[in-house]
Amino acid sequence: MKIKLTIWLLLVLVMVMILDSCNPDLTPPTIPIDEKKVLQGTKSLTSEADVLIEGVYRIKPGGDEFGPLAVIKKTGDQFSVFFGKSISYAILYAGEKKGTVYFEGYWRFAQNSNTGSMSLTIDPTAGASDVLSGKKPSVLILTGTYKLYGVDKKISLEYQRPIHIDTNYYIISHRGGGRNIDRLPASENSVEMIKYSERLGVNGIEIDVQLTKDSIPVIFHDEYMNKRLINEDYFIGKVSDYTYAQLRAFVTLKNGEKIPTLEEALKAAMDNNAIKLVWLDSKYPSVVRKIAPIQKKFLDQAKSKNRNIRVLIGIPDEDILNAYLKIDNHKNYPALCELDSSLFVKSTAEVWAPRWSLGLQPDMVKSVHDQSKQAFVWTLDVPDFIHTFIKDGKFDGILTNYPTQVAYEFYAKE
Amino acid sequence: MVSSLIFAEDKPLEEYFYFPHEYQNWSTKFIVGASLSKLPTEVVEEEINSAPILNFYFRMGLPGKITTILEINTNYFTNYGSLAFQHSFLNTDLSLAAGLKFAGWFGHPQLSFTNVKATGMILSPYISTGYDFGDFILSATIDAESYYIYNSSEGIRLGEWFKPVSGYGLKFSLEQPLWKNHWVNLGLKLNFSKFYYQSWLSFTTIDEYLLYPEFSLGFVL
Amino acid sequence: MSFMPKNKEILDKQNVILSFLQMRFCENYNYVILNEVRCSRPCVANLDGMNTGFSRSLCSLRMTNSKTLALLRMKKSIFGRINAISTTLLILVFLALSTGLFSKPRSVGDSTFSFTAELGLGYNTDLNSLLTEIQLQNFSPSLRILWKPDHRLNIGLQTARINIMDIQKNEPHSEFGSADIRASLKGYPALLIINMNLYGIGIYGGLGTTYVTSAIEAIGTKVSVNNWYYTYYLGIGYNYFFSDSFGIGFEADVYTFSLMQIRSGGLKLKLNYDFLNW
Repeated sequence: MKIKLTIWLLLVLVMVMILDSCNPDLTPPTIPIDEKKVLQGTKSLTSEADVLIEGVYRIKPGGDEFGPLAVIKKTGDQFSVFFGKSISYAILYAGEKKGTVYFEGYWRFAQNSNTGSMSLTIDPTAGASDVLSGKKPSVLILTGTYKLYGVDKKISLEYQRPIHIDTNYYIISHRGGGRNIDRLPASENSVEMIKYSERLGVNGIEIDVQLTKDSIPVIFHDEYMNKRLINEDYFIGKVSDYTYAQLRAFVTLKNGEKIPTLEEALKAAMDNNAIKLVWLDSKYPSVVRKIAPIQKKFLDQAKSKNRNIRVLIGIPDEDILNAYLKIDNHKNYPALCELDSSLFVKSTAEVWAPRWSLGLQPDMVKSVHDQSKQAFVWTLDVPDFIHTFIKDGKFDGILTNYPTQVAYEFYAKE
Repeated sequence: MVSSLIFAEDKPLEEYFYFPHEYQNWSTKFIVGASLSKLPTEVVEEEINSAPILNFYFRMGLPGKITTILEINTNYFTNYGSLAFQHSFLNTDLSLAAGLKFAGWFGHPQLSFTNVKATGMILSPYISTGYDFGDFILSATIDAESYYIYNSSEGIRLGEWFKPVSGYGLKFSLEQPLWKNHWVNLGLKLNFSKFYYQSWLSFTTIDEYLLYPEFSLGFVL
Repeated sequence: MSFMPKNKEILDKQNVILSFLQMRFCENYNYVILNEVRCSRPCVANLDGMNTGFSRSLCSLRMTNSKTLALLRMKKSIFGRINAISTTLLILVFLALSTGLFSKPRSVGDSTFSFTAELGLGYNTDLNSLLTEIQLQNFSPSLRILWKPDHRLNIGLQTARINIMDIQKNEPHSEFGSADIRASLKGYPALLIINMNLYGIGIYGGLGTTYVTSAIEAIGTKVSVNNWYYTYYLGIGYNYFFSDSFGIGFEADVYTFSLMQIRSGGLKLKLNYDFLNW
């Protein structure tokens, strides 16, 4: 009797504990980024050297975790390494000392929280001498180690060919860089995420625009505020239920940031030279009229600074399309339309962007190109699908939560 | 007279379904019910927060303490069928069985925003145990899953993949009469999985074991 | 094996009666109650020696003189030794003790069907911020209607008014200077409840939705909004009926509001009323 009662109660307790732990731990993994040991005392590389290092590399030891190929690309102040397996990538900082090129940083699996340090070198005889003197090396090999589950493992990358270049192609990160589940070092749709996004290989970002109760455009995704996105319990309404002051004073995003205004987000994008395109996902019709003047002001500023950046108003449904068409001279406000072919034509938008699940749609994409417009596809995350869309599709850009995977497929394209 | 009647039939009439005690040969039982799976908010966000599905189960006793269980689930978007064979090793108040389940499923939503079709197969070995407390029976089943999925759109292959170990499940079933001799079963399955077939429409790419709790209620026919 | 009902009437009418027979267990170790027979006193059969000769201690009886199959379940009582005290979980010690002291046959189940209303009043608090936020008043009334058929399992509906949280705090360094907020969250759940009474302890599981209202007063603006949330419920408690219709009970419970990721824990006292029996 005692045993049965105990068994029964323990079972209930176990079930409660398991259910209680239902929500995944989304703490970003601790990234070994700040301890620059190898790079102490090194000099920065020249831009010529940066370009010479960019390329598609064959991985020798280490292929088990990262696949057979890697793409190395300079992304802002650092190099990003996009691997072909398990949506893995590395962010490495570089420097030169006594004829050797040193890299130090971390690698990550984007689909889970696995991460670790990585350090690589190019010895003078393995191509560093040529690279540092601005000559194309005949051999270029990076060798070093990375830490996996606390164990140092060897890795070696040998240059194979240049990366695929197409400046008209857009790798667009979802919500500024990725979702909260992706455990990036900043919250989705935050200024900090926009600043971070260049490391992921993007040249475009998508952000979600809503209005506060006092009609200030801010960046936030979900219809209702909730604990997936914010830390506070008692804000459960829509963004539009609260004043800007209330949101800024009392609401923090998951990693502690404040909800940014559209203007703050656009400024962060402007300051991030990697970003060539900002896709403003309008969450409801009244947003459009409010964001249009901000878009115009921002584009004028960019033009005056000679900064090449596009800002597109997203049109995801017919109500928003109608709101957009009601703007005086709406053609002066660049837009992106997610609707079907006839509504796309009606919208006069410069980009057509269907959901990926509608397939490759080669005829429609050709028709868009025939109108001298572009076609993007969203939100494409599954590596196989990304491969298929880049290999067989004719789209001009992909919106994704895994820009590193799109970057790998795109830059490794032969 | 009562005594003689008792001795005339000393094997139980099976009112249970999930309890892994053997069935008499060719003895059958049906269950109809429904289940509701809670999908992880962090993954499916606001879009598909839970997945209700209708269930139909059929169990039949075979010679050699073997039982076969047929399961059909549907909620239109996702359609699932499985066939399992299990062998009961221990047939007392405490019962124990081991089995193998093979499942096939397909998803084909005719929605404006998608024309992706998905087909999958799941292979699950499992161990099931249960205890008959007298007027209720509590059973628990542990399974492991391997899956294969094929996705296509308009006849074009989008991708396919296979994971030898994709998830584990722990299912508790409570079986008892609700009124008179009408039996019901209450179930809670804790799916720790990298892929849960009922959430296929969310195209989850997270490579982690997440918890998908599934609550179920079934009526024994 | 002997099977000797003390009430001769059962044997005389067995051909008719047994088609409806279901066997129940009484507190005494070696007896069963044939509870479909509506007697003024329980009808008892002695099952001495019956615990041998079966592959399981569950056995059944197929009636051949009726087209109806009757299931006669006989089992050595598992409720005879209900004086056990669980020492594994401290919080349940008192419940287990109470079970030993006050156990009555009705906790085992009887032949009647009934509806019971359970009116509760208790204290609920947000378990996540229990130690970090200043909680104001938090009393929560609840109402549960349970259908109690003739077996262990009861099902019902439950609603309540839960003060999920009720706080005030100050943000001294906001970009608008020092700012105060007063916020409250109240929940009105509508849950399907499954209840089983095991060894005198009632376990309640629930699934449903909660209408949650949030009222915020901050920086000169009041905001009241509401939303619906999936809700899980788990309760554990003890009920004691001091008459045929009235009883009292207490319960510890936890509501989990899914998307809000809030767990509201509570303790409540209950007044139970069997308002319909048949």
